Amino acid sequence: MKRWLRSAWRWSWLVTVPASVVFASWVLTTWQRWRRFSVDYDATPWRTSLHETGVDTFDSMLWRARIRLLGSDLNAVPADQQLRSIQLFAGEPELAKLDENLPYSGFEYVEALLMYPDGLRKVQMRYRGDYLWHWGHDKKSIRIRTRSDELFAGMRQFNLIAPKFPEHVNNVASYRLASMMGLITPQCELVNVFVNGHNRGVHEFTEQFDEGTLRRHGRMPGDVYSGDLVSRDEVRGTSNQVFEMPQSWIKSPESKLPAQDSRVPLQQLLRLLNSSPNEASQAELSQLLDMDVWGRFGAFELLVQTNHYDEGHNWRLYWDPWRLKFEPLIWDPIGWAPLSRPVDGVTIAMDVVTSRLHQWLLQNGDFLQARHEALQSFFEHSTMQGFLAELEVMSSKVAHALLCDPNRRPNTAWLQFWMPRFRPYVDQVLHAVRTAHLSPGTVRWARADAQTVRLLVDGRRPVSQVSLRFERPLTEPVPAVLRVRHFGVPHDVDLGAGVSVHDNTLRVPARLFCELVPTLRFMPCQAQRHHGRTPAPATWDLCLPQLPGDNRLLGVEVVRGGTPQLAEEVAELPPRDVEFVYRATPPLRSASPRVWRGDVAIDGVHEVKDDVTIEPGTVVRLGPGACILFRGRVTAAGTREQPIRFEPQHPEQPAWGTVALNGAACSGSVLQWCDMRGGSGYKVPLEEYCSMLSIHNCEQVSVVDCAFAANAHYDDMIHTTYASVVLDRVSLVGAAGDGLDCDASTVVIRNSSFLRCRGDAVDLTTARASIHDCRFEDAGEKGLSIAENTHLVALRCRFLRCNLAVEARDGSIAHVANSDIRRGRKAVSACRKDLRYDSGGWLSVWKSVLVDNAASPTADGWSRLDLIDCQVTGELAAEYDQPNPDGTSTRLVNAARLVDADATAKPRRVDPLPFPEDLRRFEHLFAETWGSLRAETRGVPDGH
Amino acid sequence: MRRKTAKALANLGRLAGVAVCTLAGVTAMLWSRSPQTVEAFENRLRDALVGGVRQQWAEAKAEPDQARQRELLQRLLGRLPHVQRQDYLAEIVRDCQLRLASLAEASGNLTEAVDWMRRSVAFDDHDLATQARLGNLLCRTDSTRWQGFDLLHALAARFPANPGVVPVLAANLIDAGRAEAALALLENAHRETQSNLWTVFWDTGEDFDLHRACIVPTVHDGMLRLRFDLADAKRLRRLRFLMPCFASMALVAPRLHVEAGDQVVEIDASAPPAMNQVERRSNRLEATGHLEAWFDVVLPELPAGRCKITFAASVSPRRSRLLAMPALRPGMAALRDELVRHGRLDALQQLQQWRGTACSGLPMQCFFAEAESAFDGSRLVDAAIECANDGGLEVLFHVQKPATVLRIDLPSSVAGLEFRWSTLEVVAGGRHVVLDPRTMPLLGTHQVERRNDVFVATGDDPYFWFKAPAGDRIDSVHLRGVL
Repeated sequence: MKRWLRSAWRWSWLVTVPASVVFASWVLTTWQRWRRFSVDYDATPWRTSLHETGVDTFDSMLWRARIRLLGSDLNAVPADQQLRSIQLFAGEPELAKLDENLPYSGFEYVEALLMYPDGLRKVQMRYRGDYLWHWGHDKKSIRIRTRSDELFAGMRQFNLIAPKFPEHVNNVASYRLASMMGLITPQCELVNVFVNGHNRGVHEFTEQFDEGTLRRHGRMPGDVYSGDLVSRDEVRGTSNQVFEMPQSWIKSPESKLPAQDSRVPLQQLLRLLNSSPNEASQAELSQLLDMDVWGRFGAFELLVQTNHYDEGHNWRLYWDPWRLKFEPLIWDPIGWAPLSRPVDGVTIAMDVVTSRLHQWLLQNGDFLQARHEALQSFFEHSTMQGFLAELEVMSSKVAHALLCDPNRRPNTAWLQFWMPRFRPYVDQVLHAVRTAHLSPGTVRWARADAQTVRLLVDGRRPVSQVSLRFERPLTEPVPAVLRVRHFGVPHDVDLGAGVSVHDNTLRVPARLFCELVPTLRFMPCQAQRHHGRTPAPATWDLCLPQLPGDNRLLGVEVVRGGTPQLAEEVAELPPRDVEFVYRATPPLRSASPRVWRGDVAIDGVHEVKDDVTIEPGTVVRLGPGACILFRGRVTAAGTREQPIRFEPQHPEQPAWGTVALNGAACSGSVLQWCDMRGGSGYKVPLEEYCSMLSIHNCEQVSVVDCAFAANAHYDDMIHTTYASVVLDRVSLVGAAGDGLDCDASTVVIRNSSFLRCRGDAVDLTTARASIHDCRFEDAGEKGLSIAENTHLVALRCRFLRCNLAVEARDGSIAHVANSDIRRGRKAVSACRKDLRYDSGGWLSVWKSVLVDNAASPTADGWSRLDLIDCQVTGELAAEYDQPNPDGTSTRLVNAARLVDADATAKPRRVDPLPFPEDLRRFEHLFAETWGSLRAETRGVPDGH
Repeated sequence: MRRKTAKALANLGRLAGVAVCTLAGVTAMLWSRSPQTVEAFENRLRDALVGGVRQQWAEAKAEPDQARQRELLQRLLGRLPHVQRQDYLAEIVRDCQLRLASLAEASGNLTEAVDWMRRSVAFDDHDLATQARLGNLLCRTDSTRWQGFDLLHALAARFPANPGVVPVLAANLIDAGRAEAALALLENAHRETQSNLWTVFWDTGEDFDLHRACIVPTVHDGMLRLRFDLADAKRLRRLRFLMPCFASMALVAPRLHVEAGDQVVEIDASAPPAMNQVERRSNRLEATGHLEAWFDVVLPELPAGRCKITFAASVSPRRSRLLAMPALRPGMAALRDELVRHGRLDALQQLQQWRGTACSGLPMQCFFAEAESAFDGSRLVDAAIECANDGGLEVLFHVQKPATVLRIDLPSSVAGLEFRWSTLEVVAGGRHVVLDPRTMPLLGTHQVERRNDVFVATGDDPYFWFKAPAGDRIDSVHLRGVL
């Protein structure tokens, strides 16, 4: 025994020395971390005690030791389960500089290198984030800024964010769900981050919002407002509530509006949110917000159970200056976070009420309807299954990656507790939301008097139609009014325009809801969930004043979520105020259009909300600056003999403003044999029309046999945004700037001419365009400008004396065929101008004639320009000078190619050309036009 | 080295190793089994690290001698050069800098005061009060006045209705002879959107501060309503209504309607048992523009379960008194005369409304006695100045006592302010007697002068007294006028 003890004593250092080293290391790390973030830096609200810090440090040391001993390696992870890796390299002095006085020192950029697919490039990196978990542990949240001409995956700035919660997939899965629901989200995926070759663990690779995000989601550039007033951004002496401080929102610099006007939309929204909800203010809110999108946002919040959009922070609002609507951008949603889970494990939030904006929305019928539709679509289509399948994959990948993550957080106990509970919780949420929102509920009805049917609606599912079944057939629709009482005062909505009769059934498009009553309930540690909503029955009166007294009402049926449901008849329903629903049914537009004929004089800004029919021969005379803003369908069908004219009131007067078709209700408008001249545009802080004729946000608009001339001042003669338009036999002559400017639109242009436009004849941005049998002459800039992810097919077009006939750039794909390009300064060009795009323009010119042009076709290294089986005079330059915005030029190698091209008029091949593969996505749009291509001809075929 | 020594050293090393391991074991045991001990250790450790600084701060604050205090504060700041704005000790640095600025200002050394405030703003530029104070100090020196105005204008542009910024800028504009610009600034602030977000706290006997939620009210036909359900009224004893930030409004006849089970209760909320930054005037509650105005309503015992609550009051929006305070400065009186001269009635009305708002709520007293010499603190009634929407003022004293002599005490601390009292109506024994204060005989005045139809306060305790109209009992005294 004694010998054994002596031996143990002698060799005790084998145990005590390593143990002492480990202990010393633990003491040192715990001390430094606790001292920094619990004694020096006030990390409220995420302070950690000495005990927690010690446990955390020990757990971390243990985990790293285990990884080293077991040799866990990402290479051992099956390929299909691996996350992408991001490789960063930074010098030790740079890293030390970031860490020297956290968190203050971490926010200054330092130089670093980032591994691109083709090698290392210089970038800048810094830490980011407001709270401790971003920079208080070994795994840091990092922001990377690339050089302006070396984007990474199309991004100038992106974040590598340390996941906040044990499940790690909260944000990634939330973003994915939001994206599947059609919301604007940043690109986000989980990645392994390596710094100087060492695995720093799983991070969220998240795009920083910029114009590219908007473009990728099919939105035009506009203002993006960020509302954050917590932590470092708090200002003492103010309320720090973002919805009452418009000046405290940070606005991204994309606005085209003058600086003093640039906050007007936000100010208007905040003014509204700080007033009292009523029918008028809720209607105004519906105007200002894109309720379809906000409905999806509301559904998204429910599905991911997020409380992270509140009075103090995390708002990103996009103002679309063309649609005049706000949309939410999804940022840091942290869905299904442990912090937002009910302590009792049961209560799932059925309405998210974390800000005054939520309170307003939950009283708005348009929002409630849109939210319901979004939920219904999610549950009844394959979205849910698709999402759950992706979630499964994400969870599996992250589980593998975490086994090799030396800096994984939080500690093992938390991970082991929370991770298995994640998926059951998601399932629980989905089940609860589906049950609460898609269950039918009850509807009761009673006769309030001879002309009034009173309905009592319960359950969250909205009623979209009420059908009244009578004893005998009805001969014609009767007027119907929906009456609701707020504070004892009746509010009527005329639904007469939507009433229809089917035999003995009267169908009224009345949209009805239950009430969502504010309910305060204490939830431990979850202040954001104290305010919830409880559904309560709401009473609605359907007044049918001209109902024949002798035709007995037999029953009432309603449609809820597309499903008919029989209403239960009761003897009596007492009248009751509706306190929490406004704008249940939006007013219906008049069924009979307004008619304009003869001379119509317009002064000032004239808004027309009804449908309008303009008769042949009508002359619309507009005073200086006068504008007509149509909000309904316009049918202006002139004739060759009696065209409709839009012209100045006096020949010498200053230009009139704009004729604008704006909004979905303008869809189906027709302008035929219209002659428009002498207009300009119209800009106020909340509306912008940069052209004489503006077509925004509407579908299937036809402009046929029309002539446009002599516009002034503003950018374009015709401008379309978010529209689908057909222009047939249209002439644009002498545009002051661009002739036709199409942004985010689908256009068909045929048999039209664009003559003497000072700017571009046709300017396409993020558009889909089919152009054929058109003439482009004397364009001051480009005949066809094809930019920013535009897709185009152009056939049988003649370009004469244009400065540059066709230019494709910035992710655009264009196929031009059977066209003549003659006597211009330059025929065709493909290039990259906007560095946000990975590629330049891809332009293919088929079976065309390019002769007598001064400069050779050119393409830069990011672009592709193929002249295939064309008649081309002159040689292709090997190099050319690309002009820069600052007036200088850069010498570039010309990437343009001649394929089977020569100087003769005879084609080398005559076999039919297959549909271009790179346009396959849009085959439905272009197939017919492409099918008319004549392979046996170079240039415009005879007879066209 | 001798073998024995080496052996001793080796044993010593082994002993140290065992000691460290023992310490590690004890630490592990404490960490796993007694977090309370670790917490106590943490507190002691923290105290050892920063307790000295806090003690030095407390001593410096308590030091009565200004020179010594200055020295202590500077010494303390000297210990904290490493502290940054989000550190725990940042509050000490801020406080020291503000105190040093105050000391310098008190001693007339504006340059030093400005220097300390500049350091304070450089240390933490997320504090409005500090920045406004720096702006104010800069404006008081000719050479830096433009910097002060630049700073204050920038703050006012970003926080256009903030009562910590706008009055400071307005006051400096007035003092710089730009009273009309100050008026425009106040009007601009008044036009800014006011918050509508109420916060309701419900008290169930525990964690009162945590039981809260925000509500947007409805206002219909001048009636404000906050309607909500409480999920459970069990042990509910009171509600606290935190009014919107910087709210300025009058809630007339506020009441609470509560339905719980089969119990329906109506509660008059015009006499709150507790309130903060809210003024009670007869049957109404007035919020005057503060950040945290609240009042409580006590509830009777209610049955457990859901209860339906409606708070309702007739609401009158008001100009913020916090914003209005600069309107009492002499420069604004000069502007009033100028506006009258030029017949600019709209601007005049705005100005008078601001001046009235600033005066509204200021306390006045009416002493009553049988003889001139008999005024004492036991025979007086209080009343507050009421401001009408047209800028007019009135004060109504409910005396209800016999008196032959009456004394009206104007608000204190308004030296230089001119009151244009137009009528003084005394109701005595049911008889109305209307006097003209501009001409009626006075028995005497104290720190107030009557000149050119105007009562001008000349000191901090201004009052005048006069013979009461005939009658045994004075029912009320009603004074009307403008500023």
